[in-house]
Amino acid sequence: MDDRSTIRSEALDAVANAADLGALDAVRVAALGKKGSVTGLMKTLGGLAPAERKEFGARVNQLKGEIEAALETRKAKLGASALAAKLASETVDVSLPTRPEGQGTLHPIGQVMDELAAIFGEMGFTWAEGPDIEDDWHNFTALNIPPDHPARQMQDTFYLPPRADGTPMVLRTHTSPVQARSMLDKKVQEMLAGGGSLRIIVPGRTFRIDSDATHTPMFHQVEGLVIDRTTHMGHLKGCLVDFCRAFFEIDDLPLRFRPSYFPFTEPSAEVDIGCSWKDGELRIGAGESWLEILGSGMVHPNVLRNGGVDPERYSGFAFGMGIERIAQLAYGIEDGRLLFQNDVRFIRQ
Amino acid sequence: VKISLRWLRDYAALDAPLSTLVQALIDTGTEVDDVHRDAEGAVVARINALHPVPESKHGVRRAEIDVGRDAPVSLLTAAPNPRAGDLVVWAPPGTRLPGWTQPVGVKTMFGMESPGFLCSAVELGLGDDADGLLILDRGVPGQPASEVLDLDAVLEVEVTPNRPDCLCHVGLARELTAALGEALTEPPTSVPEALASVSPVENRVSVRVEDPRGCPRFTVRVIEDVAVGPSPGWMQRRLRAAGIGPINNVVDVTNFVMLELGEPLHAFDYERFRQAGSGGNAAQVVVRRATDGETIVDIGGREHRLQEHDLVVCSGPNVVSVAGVIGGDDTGVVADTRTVLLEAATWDGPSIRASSRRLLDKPTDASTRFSRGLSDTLPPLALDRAAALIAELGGGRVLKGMVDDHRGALPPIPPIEIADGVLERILGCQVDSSEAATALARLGFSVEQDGGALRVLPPHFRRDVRIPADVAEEVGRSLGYARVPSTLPGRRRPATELAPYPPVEDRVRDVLAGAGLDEAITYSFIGPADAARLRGLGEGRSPIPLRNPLTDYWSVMRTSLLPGLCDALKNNLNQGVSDIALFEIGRAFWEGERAAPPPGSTPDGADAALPPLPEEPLLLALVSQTGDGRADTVAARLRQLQSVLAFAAHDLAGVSMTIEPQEIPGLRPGRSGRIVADGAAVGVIGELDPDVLEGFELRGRVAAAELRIDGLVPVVPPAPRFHQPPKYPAVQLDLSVTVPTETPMGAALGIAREVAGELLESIEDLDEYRGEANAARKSWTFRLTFRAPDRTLNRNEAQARYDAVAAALETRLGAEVRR
Repeated sequence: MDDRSTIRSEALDAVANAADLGALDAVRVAALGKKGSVTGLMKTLGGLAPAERKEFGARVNQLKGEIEAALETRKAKLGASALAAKLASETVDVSLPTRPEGQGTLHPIGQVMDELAAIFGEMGFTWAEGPDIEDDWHNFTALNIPPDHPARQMQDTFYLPPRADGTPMVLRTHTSPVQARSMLDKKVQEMLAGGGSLRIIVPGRTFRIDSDATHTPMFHQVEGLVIDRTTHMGHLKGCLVDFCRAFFEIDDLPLRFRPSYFPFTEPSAEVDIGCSWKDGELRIGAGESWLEILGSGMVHPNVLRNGGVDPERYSGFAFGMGIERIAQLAYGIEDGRLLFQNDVRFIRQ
Repeated sequence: VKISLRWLRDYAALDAPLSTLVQALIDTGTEVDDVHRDAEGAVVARINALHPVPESKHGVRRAEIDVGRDAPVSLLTAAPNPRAGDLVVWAPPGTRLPGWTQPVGVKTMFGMESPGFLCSAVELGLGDDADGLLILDRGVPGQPASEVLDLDAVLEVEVTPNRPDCLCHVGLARELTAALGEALTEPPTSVPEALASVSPVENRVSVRVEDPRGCPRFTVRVIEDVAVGPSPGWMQRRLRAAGIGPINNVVDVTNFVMLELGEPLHAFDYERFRQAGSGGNAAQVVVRRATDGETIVDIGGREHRLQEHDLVVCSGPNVVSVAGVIGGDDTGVVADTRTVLLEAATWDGPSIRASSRRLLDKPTDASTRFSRGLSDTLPPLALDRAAALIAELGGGRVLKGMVDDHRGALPPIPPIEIADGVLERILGCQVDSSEAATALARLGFSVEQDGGALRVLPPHFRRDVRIPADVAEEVGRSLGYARVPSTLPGRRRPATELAPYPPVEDRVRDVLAGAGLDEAITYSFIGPADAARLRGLGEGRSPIPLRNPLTDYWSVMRTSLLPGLCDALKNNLNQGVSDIALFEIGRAFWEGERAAPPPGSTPDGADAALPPLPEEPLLLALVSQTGDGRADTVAARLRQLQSVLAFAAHDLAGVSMTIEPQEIPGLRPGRSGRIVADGAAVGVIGELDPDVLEGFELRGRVAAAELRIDGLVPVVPPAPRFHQPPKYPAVQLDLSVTVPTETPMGAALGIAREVAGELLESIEDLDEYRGEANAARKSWTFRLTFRAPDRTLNRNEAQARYDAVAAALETRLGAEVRR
């Protein structure tokens, strides 16, 4: 009896004091192993009288069960703290400042173009392009800009050597030559004849002799052109109101359509968006000021005619905007010349 | 143009607040860039006390004034008239007074600071009395002077090129009265009896226009017994407000009438004009084109050589002025001029513009107006208005009648028929035809109404209005575009996709940015030296020059994007930013003809297309700079560019790209090659030559590549196809070889693919090693993966292919296989 209770208390103490899983296993071996103390008790079983043997056996088994249970409990506890210790030794400081990954950046001009394309794409516009080097017919004559018009002066237009037949060649001064190119495109003619409508936006580089803080000799424009059987200024307004509100992400952005003059549209309107100035900083949205962002108008009948489109049967509207200006507004860039210096510290912003 | 508010009010009440007037102009299509109020900031002041300044010999006194602030202001004044208690106008420092170029400042005199200025009527632009301060009869100290005085305001107005009629006060007063529904009172345009002489003008002057197309109308009058002197204060103030300095009563009248009616005039000294000719009793005016080499000396004494398209006014055979551009020095009005020969004419706009551009540093008030093309109804009106004013102000008499050569009369403006509903169809809003007729009438149009239809006759000064759309604009701007409801055109998709959206290069951009390169946009024109230094894909092509470049630095069209990117790298290095990689996607310009003309090259009605345009290939260029200058770093960059390009080409176009080592001008020999896709050379890649680096002032080393992508990338991207993942296991075998150091790996890979056949799924280069012991050889390790699509590959079969590859490398490349 004494033996049993000593073995019991010693074993249970040892279990309770085992510091880690290794020590605990040693305790198990010392108690329940082949030469363990409990096993030793079992071995004394043979020397007992049969009457005592049954009761003694049951008690030793009970003791064994008790120690096993204690070992299990202790083992679970030590296991949990071992895991905790491991976790503790492998913590990561998640509050460290993040590091830029090796991701490049798209130029702000490209980002604006993408956004414009997405918005107009939603409205059913497709993408059209034309050459940067144009003949003067497409750049001027087709657009109702006669040979003696001031816009043709050398002071505004970059000229290239003329072609062999004397045709003057220019760097296009606007994306508008693509108006005539698109209308004269056989596919478009067939499309219009088949009752379809032409809806394009034309992004691209344009060139004018100008260089100061607000002008660079190369800049980007996006031109829009819609030709259909019944288009009017209401459609022009609707389209541009929708566009401006989507682009600037202001649902109630006020727009003002101000009469103006362009040779290739009649009537013509410049489009202003509402804005305000606070502490020298521009805020777009309803305010006391206006900011000009678009030129627009109903396509002049002469331009339709030059594009092989009968102005008696079709009408259209067109609009154009400077991407640099839009990018400057959207990203708060003050000096437009920064856009072409390609300083990565600027681009990466 | 500068427009004076008080001047406008000579022709209409226009008593609405200034902001309302400005808004009305903007809403009807006249831009107002700026508004300057005269003496803005000036306030009413009460003189508390006046103290003599003993040091002054001219009676300067120190005034203590109450300007509505806590403390009085103390300043000096030389004016004799003010007394203590008077209300005067104080212009504090910073105030801009009419006709002053500088704002009012702080002066120090007699050891005293004198802030600002006490104003006389002259300084406020209100009168001619400069002798004393303007004493007010009402006002409270501190109150803005504009509330108690009728101070002028000047509007800086921008007029669109189609509206030369708005470059004057009457024109803008007309716009305003039409917008606001007020009445317009035009100035008198006839010579009153009292100022007229009975002597007929024909006895004194004859006019012969030899080029009626260049000069549709030429009118003259003669005013005699004129006393030249300063013009009255009211006229001087008007001119100053409009930005023109007064000269004398004759010249001032011509300027005044130009600013009033929009028609520039020219005044000659009659006698000097006559003497400049061949010497008859009467002046002979001849209008013609110049002959090459004729000269004229301008009022500033500068001589100009004329060319045969310049329109000139002559006295007999001799040139005395270039029409609308230069007045001759020796026929102008001078102090002792007694008889004035006054000219008003209509000129061919483009001719004037051409002469003005060539002969003048900047356009003049007259040349600007003539260039835009003026009405030929205007000259006699302006001539009479000016003649009467000269006679009135100079005490002279206007000879009877005018000489008027109008043989080149412009074709009359035809009436415009507006069918019922046309205005609505263009404007997209309800337009009542009576309302339209009223709006047009206010703008000077004659309108006949027939039910809903209109017959519209534009006034003589609106030669820009020709077609119903023009009339719609007049009506639209009068009613206001705010009235047009926003509607969306029906959402019909066009039948044909004209170009894919988004364009293919957009996806290339995303791939490159994802790979860590920053996008650049560089100019389409570059300097000739840069173009010659690094030709990239434009090798062998001479750049197209600009005929009128802005600077030499931007004088030829680029044939490659690489020079621009090198320049961008330099900009970054100069800012202290190193180790960057940039790319650009854009067009280069190659002389010669493009393969296929762009759509719409044949104008409607023309049989043949316009002459071909030069080729504009869409290029992709990349540069990657390393600051450390080490060969292996730049080699790694080169490898990176290569991988990015291969990925982009494969991902977007399904094209496999290989690089064949080759010497490329501008790139380092042994570190350059040609990019080949589907058997065609599409690009170049390599490390920039040290000479090129030096030429672009670049530090470190630079890997670069350029690739033509418009041919490479299909217009319509291939639809993605699903590939069944392999069902059977692969056999992987590693192969180690040593080869002579100069052997390109591309050659080994090519041989391996060729020899191993279709069972070789991939060959991966695991390692390249150059031992120090033997510089002549390097070693490679490849992993060859063999797989059969339809069965489990027998290891022996793979081994046989492997052995064949090893043998081929030994015989063809001199490789030694390590077994």
